Amino acid sequence: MSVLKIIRYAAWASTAALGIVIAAVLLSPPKKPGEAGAGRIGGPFVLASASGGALDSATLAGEPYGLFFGFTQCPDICPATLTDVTALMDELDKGPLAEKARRFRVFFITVDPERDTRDILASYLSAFDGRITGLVPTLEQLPAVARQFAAFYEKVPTSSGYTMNHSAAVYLFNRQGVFAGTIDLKDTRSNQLAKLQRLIGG
Amino acid sequence: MFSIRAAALAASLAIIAIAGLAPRAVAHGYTVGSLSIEHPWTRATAPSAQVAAGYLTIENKGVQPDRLLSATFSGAAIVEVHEMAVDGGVMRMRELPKGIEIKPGQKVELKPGGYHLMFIGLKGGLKVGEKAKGVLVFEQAGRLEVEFNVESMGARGDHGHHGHGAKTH
Repeated sequence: MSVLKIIRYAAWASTAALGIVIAAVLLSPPKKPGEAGAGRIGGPFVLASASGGALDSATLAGEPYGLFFGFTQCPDICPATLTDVTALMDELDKGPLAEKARRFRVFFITVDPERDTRDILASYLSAFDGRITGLVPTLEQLPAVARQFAAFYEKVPTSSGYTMNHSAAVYLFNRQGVFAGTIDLKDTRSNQLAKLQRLIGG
Repeated sequence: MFSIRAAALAASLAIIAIAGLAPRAVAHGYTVGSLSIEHPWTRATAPSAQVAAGYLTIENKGVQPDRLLSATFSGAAIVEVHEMAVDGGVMRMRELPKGIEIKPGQKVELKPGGYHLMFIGLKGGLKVGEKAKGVLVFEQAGRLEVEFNVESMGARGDHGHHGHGAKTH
């Protein structure tokens, strides 16, 4: 067999293989909405609220909300994010969406329920916008709720005790309760505001 | 001509030398050994907060490496040297048990999103405008008493550029 022939057969073979792959992708049944695939973020939860009682995500139906993970013994990113959110809420209150912004809520889920009691969390959050509510999962609930939001957390030992690593973004959910992107500290203030305006205005 | 130029040169060298030796007229800066420390600061804390982060800039103007080994802070029971980074959307923090090295000629910044002193077991809240005493311990340069300015809860350390005489705080 000549070299040219081998090359020709190889070319035909790879074309056929590619065709099979394309056909398989095109013919495979489409995913139902909400089916896990690339990973659906969010879902129903019921967690103890720092402001008393439990928060059932079913009560949030029809209103957009934000949610993020953190802990009070966090020196940098948690107070910074809470300060950002507080400033953004102030901005929204001054804008044309003030009416809708009044009902916009943000949840701060602690990844350190061993130290963050409801009282500590409520007291800590009193320094920030009143629409931010602390949620305290039990140690048993925490892995499941983190998984629901594809959030990461882990305990890191230090010489005096421990600290926590955790996902930094603020997750946004629209009126239908569907994940609508994130905002983070690296976004410019105007980008963060635009995202919230789109969410709340939509 | 030559002598005038030489005199001018000598004069400028003298001025540079004097400026270098004179105590630095910088707002909120310190010198110890060959290290220059700029603007130690921390943030106001929320009620019930147990921790805060301390930030500063250290420049090594000497020829030997040095190391920030540890620190104390009047408002906290414990201080650890930490590093944090946001990687793939995850905030990760770790203790640096050996502290932070400052190589000759290097300027190391402890700032939000990076190295920081972790103040643990706060004895009370920190309020904007307060000053809190602390001690930095360096391997070569030894101990240095400093004051941390307490800035706003949302401060990110982007006060122009510290140390250029701009009195931002």
